[in-house]
Formats: sequence, structure tokens, C-alpha cells
Amino acid sequence: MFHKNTLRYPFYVTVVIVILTLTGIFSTFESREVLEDYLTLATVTLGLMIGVSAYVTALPMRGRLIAVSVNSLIGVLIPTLALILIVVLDTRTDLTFVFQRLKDLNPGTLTSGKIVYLDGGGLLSPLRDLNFADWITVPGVQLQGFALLLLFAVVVAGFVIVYIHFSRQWRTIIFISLLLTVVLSLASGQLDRILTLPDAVMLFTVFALGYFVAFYLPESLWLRTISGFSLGMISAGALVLLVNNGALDAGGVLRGIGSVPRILQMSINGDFIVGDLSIPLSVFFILILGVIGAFGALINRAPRSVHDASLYFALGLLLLGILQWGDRFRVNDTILGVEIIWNRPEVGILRAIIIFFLLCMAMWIVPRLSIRAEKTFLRVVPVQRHQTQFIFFAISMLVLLIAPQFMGLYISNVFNLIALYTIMGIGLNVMVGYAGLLDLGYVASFAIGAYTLGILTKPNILTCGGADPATLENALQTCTGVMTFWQAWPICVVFSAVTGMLLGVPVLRLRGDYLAIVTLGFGEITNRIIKADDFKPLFGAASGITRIPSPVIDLTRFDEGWYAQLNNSTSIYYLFLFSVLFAAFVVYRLANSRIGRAWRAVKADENVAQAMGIHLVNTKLLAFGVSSAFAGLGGAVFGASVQGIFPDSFTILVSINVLSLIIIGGMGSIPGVVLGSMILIGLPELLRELDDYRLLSFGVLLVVVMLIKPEGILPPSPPKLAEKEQVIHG
Amino acid sequence: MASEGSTVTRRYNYLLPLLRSPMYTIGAAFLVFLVVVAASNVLTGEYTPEQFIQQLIFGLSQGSIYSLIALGYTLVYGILFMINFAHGEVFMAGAYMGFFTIYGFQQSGFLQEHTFLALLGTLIAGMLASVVVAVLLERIAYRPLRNAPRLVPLITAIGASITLQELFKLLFGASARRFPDIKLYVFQSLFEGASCETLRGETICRDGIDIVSGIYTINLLGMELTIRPISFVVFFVSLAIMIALWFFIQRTKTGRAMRAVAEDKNTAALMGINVDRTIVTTFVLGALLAGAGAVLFSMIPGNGQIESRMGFFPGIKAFTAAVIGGIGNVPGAMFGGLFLGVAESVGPSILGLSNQLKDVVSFGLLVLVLIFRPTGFFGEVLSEEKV
Repeated sequence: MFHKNTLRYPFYVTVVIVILTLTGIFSTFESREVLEDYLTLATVTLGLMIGVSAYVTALPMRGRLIAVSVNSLIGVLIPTLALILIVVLDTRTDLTFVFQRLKDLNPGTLTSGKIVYLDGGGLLSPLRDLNFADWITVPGVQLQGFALLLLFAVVVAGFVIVYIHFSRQWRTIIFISLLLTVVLSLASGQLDRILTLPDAVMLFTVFALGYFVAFYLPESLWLRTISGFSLGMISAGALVLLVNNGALDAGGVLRGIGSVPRILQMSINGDFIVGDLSIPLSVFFILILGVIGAFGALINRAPRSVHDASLYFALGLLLLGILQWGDRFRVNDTILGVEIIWNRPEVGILRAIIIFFLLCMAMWIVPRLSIRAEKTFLRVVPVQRHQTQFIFFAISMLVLLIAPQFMGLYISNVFNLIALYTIMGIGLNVMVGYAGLLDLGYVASFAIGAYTLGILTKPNILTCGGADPATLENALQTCTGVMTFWQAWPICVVFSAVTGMLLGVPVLRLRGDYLAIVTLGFGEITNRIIKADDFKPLFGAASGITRIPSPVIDLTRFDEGWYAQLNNSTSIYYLFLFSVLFAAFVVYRLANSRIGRAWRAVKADENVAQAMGIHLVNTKLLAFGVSSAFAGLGGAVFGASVQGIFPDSFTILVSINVLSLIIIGGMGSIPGVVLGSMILIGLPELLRELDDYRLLSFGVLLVVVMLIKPEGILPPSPPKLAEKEQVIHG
Repeated sequence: MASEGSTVTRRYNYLLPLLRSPMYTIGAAFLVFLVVVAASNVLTGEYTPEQFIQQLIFGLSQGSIYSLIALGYTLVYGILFMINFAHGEVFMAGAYMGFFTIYGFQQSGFLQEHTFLALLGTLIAGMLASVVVAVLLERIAYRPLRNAPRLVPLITAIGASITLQELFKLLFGASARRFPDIKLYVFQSLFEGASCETLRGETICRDGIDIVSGIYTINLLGMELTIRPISFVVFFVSLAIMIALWFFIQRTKTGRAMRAVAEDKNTAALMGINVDRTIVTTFVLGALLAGAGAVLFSMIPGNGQIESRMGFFPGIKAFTAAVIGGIGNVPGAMFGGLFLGVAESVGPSILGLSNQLKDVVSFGLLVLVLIFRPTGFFGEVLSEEKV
């Protein structure tokens, strides 16, 4: 019935829950709604925590129903009772002097009081406004709040009892799907403007059509491409006909949505005019669907990672459409002649359920399809493999190029941030992942890049040849040193590489730990210097450097119209994209060269590497230089994109963010860096309200990842040197 | 280096590093430049002897706190060969506990009645809190990784440091807190009756010398010195603690066990020493010193901003101090802390820089030490090969 950890595990979880409660996590999360009017984040968090407690407690008893039930009840009740104790303590004494963020805690906060909020708020809504001061004075009258909390705990326990009897695979699937559903619901406010449901369904259907039809086709590359393409075109043609006849419009699909589906709309609307040419937009529409169909047909014969990524990407598009549906749905609509009144909250629930089931299905089916795709891929001849990979690359480039047209300013901004951290992550990865040197002052090189750009592209003491620009009459003419972005960025890159190496020289002869702390100091010192009043004429002290000119693409000498100023987040996106690709390309080539092997050798064992003839200091210095150079590149692009840099943007938090993302993503792997920055940078941007807990979770993640999976989520594949040799000789 | 080359090179071999490494030359040139700037500032009278003595006293008191923290780094390093990045947070925990304790004493009136006992209680409470944090840290974050590659425990330590910082910020709020005003009068028999005087616009009445928040003007050899007695108190209390530590390491059985484990873990285990327990003891000792340092640090008026990032700079500086003295070397850490404290307090004004840049000075010192004497002034107790 019991095992030796029956009390120990719940106790550990309780300690964690109590600490988090004292940080005010529930009162912070209460204002964030997962399901409008039904569920707040506070409830989800509480459920998750006591659920984990019940799960770990009951897991050793799996298969014995009674024992599982008893254990999971113990697992939920211990933390819940501890919480009740805190609530009582909080009402009796004032804890807010010590725990400043702990405010008005009551069981209503913990379960948000909304979870059983059935008929328009009638049944249990009084529970939301329980005043526990009353309860304390009149004992035994208003126990409902605590009863509700206990009821909630028992419900969670019941869920765990069912959940624990699924197979291991399904447990993983359900857990991840639940988490993703919660995240998507939380982020729906930011994500619901990207793609409309008709667009998403259409794209997904054409993709799936291509994918499944190709199962029955021979393995020839071109046959597949062409048939997928024509399938897409045929569907597109049918859609054009239908839409032009007003069929979809009459069915309410186009009409029922608040915003117009942008891709579908292309099939009826207007012309695209280039010079004298005027092309109907429907041509583009047909072409787009053709490419999607071809992509679907090709993807079922692909390397595993590409295949999975594409499938999840397609699913992501569908989910984006579903998110949009929920928030833009008209209040009442007629479907098949029946008038249905939808309320946003109910749509929210329906939406969450659909998303959850789609995710579950996808996670169950994709690995199966993936095995098949990989097998087929390995059967084809190497030449065609390369061609396939090239086509995938071209298509993903195409997607990345047109993406900002759909994303809108906010999401583009998030993407730019992800790109910025990807550049820096790729750079730091050279140091930490390849060469095994821990750099904690990465922000210094970043700051040097940004400030170099700021100084070179603005009139100041340096660019005006020693004169103060404020005293000059016509600063722009006199200051001959002022550069454009394109002239300045190579200098930024080189300058931060050189400063990085200069710092490295005294330290790199020593053990790694010294490097860590010296770079940590260097990062903080850089911040102090740019903040200091001593250097105000150059760095602007606390007010920073403002109004940095945005990069201009000026090709007017070829054509009058070719002039673009990259001054908003959708246009500067292309600069970021280019920089990421550049950084990834350089590092990829370096890592697979002699230098990259030298770095890995140094990381593995310095003494052996030295014995093999690798010059330790030079190799390490090079790693230091390359990594600082990319930080400088990131800094320059960052400076150009935000157009104003302040010392507060260059704190140690930047170093911590970059370090965390490469460690969690996987040291020494470029896909790992991309994934890491999506999770650690992109996700918190979408869940802005949870910002308070961001660094805490980074810290905890660092420790946990190091304890459990030191190689990260996407570790680099081991070098295939031996196999290459075989290919050459055989 | 000395073993190679002819007699000529051997005669001038102290010059060889200068020729070999450009870094030595740059470093030496920089050093000469600093000396020239400092000398010119002194000679032109921009830097007065009064300033020097005041800053020396302040620097010694600040430096003794650095020594206390540096000892924690050095002890752990000597035994585990890892830098305990979260040591600054152990310090911070002590400061928070000290604050809550002394606040409680103040609310209950105990502080006003028995100031000395209250301060002692605060010191002990701070030390205990630091010990709890350090022991948990060792148990959760460091012990499972004792045989992992070097990078792994280093990253864990950074993660633990961030976690502790953020946790304290979320628990106790982001706003900085401050020790209450403490007045502790000694030598009351020397001053009969209350004598009041006005200093810097504040009227101070005293019956005795206020050794916590008092400021006194002393005329010494024709120099007007403004001195805070707290500097001496902090210095001597730290010194006493450090001497106690020295005796503990040298004279007790546990101290001997610690030295044995630092020398060779496996052999020590064979000799019947409980290695795990010895390592925990080391963490406890380091935390005791850090906690004491934290309470002393927060007691100094004008110093005591207690917030979650307060451990960061003292931590880095204490590490610098440990490196200056030779990491792993106990007397070295004591010396290094005092040296750094004085350098940091005297440095900016003797070089004509603003006080904003005092952290830059201590960091520059670290880099210079790493260029010229990477093993520190006293040398590392452990040779590179052992690590």
C-alpha cells in the first residue's frame, strides 16, 4: 500500500509549492486567463504542481489501483493542506513585510473560484469573493473556500489515477499536449492575427493531399514534385472557381470570420502590377498551392528531422488558424440554417479541446510516419538525396522570406529577437559548445558591437575629428567620419573580435574557471564603463546613444524605385535573417574544418590535444575571436534595429540568456541553438505577463539540465568521420 | 624558463618574459603609466595624505569583508577545485537573515536595550542562514556532479546562483532594504555627561563613542581626519574570525581532515576520513565566514543596501582577492582581500577617476595579476598538474 517515499516526495513538492506561494505566484498568475471565464493560470499551476506530487508518489504503485489511489490522494493532500495552513497564517498575521509580493491570498486565488462556474456564475460564484477575515471571526461558517480547494485536489488526484494507467508513450503525449494547449491558449492574444482559419485549413489540406498521395507514387524525385505541384494547382483551380461563384461566401466561411482570409482572398482580388505587366493575383494563389502540394509530396521521403519539423510546422499553421477562429468568431452565426449563439468563453473551451486532440494525434502519428519517410529516403541514390535536401532548403528559405508579410509587427519583432539571440547563441556556442571555454561576459562583446555602430554612424567627438558636434554649425557636413550602417558593421565585428581576443590573452593560459569569472567581470565592467559619466561624450552615459540611423538599401542607380529604409520590424527582419544565415553558415563550415576539430579536441582533453600538435592558446584565442565577432555582429544589427542603445540593455542578463539557451538547446549544435532561443526567448515574449518568473526558471533549468541531461535537448550528432572515409575509399 | 639558454640569457632571465610575450610588455607599460599618473597626482597635491589615511582605513575595513568571502572561495576551491559561483548568494542570504533578525530585535525593543547582545544575535543568525543555503547548495547542486566534466559543475553553480538571486528577489521583494539605525556607545566612563557637537549639519550628542554609526573628527599630526569607528570594529572582528579559522584548520582534527581531503581525496578516504562530511564542513566554514561578512557589511552605515543582487560584486571581488593571494591558499585570501580593499578605495582617487569606476580598478587589478603572477602573490597551494 505504501512505499518508502510515500511521504518524502509530497514533502519535497510541498516545500517547492510553499516557497513559490510565498513569492506570490498565485496572486500574479490569477490575472492571466487560460480559458476565458473558466480557468486562470493560477489554477493550472496549482493543478500541475499537486498533480506532479501525486504522480511521483503513485508511480511506483502503478498497476495496483487501490494503492495508486491512496498514494495519489496523499500526494495531493499534503501540499493542499500546507497551502491551507499558509492561507490561515496569512489572514492571522501580516506576512507582507517579509514576503512583499504575497498579497491577499485566499483559496479563491488558488483555485480562482471559477473552475466550477457553471450557469453564468450563479452556482458557486459567491466563492470568488470570500472574505476570510469573516471566516476567522465566525468559525465554521464559510468553509466553502477550503472545501473547494480540497475538492479541486481530489479531482486532480482522480485525473492522475486515470493518467497513470496509460502507457508511457501516451503519458508523454498527453502531458506535452496539455502543456502546449495551455501555452497556446495563453499566447492566443498575440498569435491570433497571423492566419485565418480558411487559409490555414486550405494550406494544411493541400499539404496533406500531396503528402498522402505521394505514398502511392514511385520514388522518383521529379515525378513526385510534379504530381504534388499539379495536385496543388488542381485544388487551387477548384477553389478559384468555387470562390468566384460565391460558394464559400454563401456557406459563411468567408463571412463568419472577423478578418478576411488573405491567401484565399488572392483568388478573387485584383492584379499584381510590376512595371507594365499586370498579373492576376489568382496566378500567385495557384502557384502557392502548387508549391505547398509539391512540398507535401516530397516531405514523405525526407530525413527524419526535416520530415518531423515540416509536419509540425504544418500542424502549427493549422493551430494558428484555429486560434484565430476563436477570437474573431461572430457572436451569432447561422450554420446549415440553424442559428447558433456562440459566446467567446465557450468557443475558447471548444478551441482548447480541438487543439489538445490535434496535438495528441499529431504526436502519435508523426513518429510513425517519420520512420517510414526515413526508410524511403535512405533507399534513394545519394545524388537525389542531395537534390531533395536542396529543394527543402529552397522551400524553407521561401517560407522565411514571405513570413513577415503575414506575421504583423509584433510577431516580427519576436522573430527578430529570436534571430538576435540565435546569432549570439551560435557565436557563444563556438566558445562553450565547441572549445569548452565558459564565457560569462558575452554581453561585453555585444555591447562593444552595438556601441561601435552607435559611435560610427552618429556625429560625435570621434567622427567629428575631436570637435564637439553640439558646438558645430552644420555637424553633418563637418563630421566626415560618420558612416552608413553598411560601412560600419564590418568594423563593429572586427573590433569586438579584437577586444575579445585581447581579453583572452592573459586568461586563456589559465584554467577554464578563471576565464569564466574574468569574463563575468569583463561584462559587468563594460556596463560600468558605458554607464560612467567619465565617458559621456562618447557613450552618452545613462542616456545612451539615440537616433541611430536605420540601414538603407539604396540601389537607385539601377532602378528609381529600388530604395528601402529598414526602419520597422518587418523590414529589419530581413537583415536579421541574413545575419543568422551568415553566422550559421560560417560556424557550420568552421566546425567541420580542421579548426573545428581542433576545438573539439581541446574540449575533450587539453593535454592530448597538445600532444597531437594543436597549439592550445592559438586555438582557444581563435574560438574567442570568432565568438566575440558574432556577438559584435549581433550588437551591430541590434543597434540598427532598435535605433537607440542604453546601458540598461547590456546587463549580465543578456549573457545569462545566451548561455542558458545554448545549454538547454544543446551545446555545440546549431539546430539546438535555434530551438533554445525559440523556447527561452520567443516563448517568454509571447507570455509577457510571466516575466517575473523568467530568470528563476532559467536558473532552475540550468541546474536541472546539468543534473539530468547535460547534453541539452538537441545535442549535436557525433561526427561521422569514419563513414566519410568509407565513402571516399569505397 | 630559467633552465634553458646560455649564461647570458640566464643572467637576464627576468627580462625574458617581457620579450617573449607582448602581453607582458603591454601590462608593464600600463603599470608604469598608472604609477606615473598616481605620482603626478600626489606631487601636484591633488591627492592629500589626509585622503590617503582615511581611504586606507576604509579600504582595510572593506577589504576585511572581502577576505571573509574570499576565504569561502579558497576553502571550497582547495578541496573541490571548483569555483563556487553561488558564494555571493550565500553572502546575500546572510545579509537578509541579518536584516530580518535585527528588524525583529528593533521592533521588540531588544536592540535599544541590549545593543551588543542584539548585534551578536544578528551576526549568529546571519551566519546560520548562510550555512543553511550553502549546505543545501552542496547537497542539491554540487554533490551529484562531483565526478562530472569540469564545465558541468561550473554551469550548475551559475544556475544555482541565478536561482538563488531570483528566488530571494521574488520572496522578499525587489526593493532594497536597509539596517535600522544602530547606536552602540562604548567607553562611556571617558565622557562624563552629554556633550553635543554639530558635524556636517547634524547635531550629535554622545555619552561615549558610538562605534556603529558615529563619525568623529580627529586631529592627528596636524591632519584633520574624519573617521568612523565602525571601520576598526569591522576590521578587528573580521581579523578575530579569520584567526579562529586559522586555528580551526591547523589545530583541530576536522581541520586536519580538511587538509588531508584537499591533498588527496582517495587516500584520505582510505585513512578513515569521511570525505562527504569533510566537504560539507568546508562549505559550512565558508558560509560561516560569508554570513559574518554579510552582517558586518550591512552594518556599515551607507553600505547596507540589502537586495538580491548585493552578493554579485562582493562575490567577484572576493574571487579577485582569492586569485591575488593565490586561490586555494588560506593566508593568501586574507591578504588578497585586504590588498584589494585598499587598492579599490585608494585607487580611483589617486588616479583621478570618479568613484563610479572603482569596480573597473579592481577588475583591472585582477587582469594585471593574471598577466604577471597567475598563481597569485603567495602561489597556489596546489600545483596545476593536480588539478
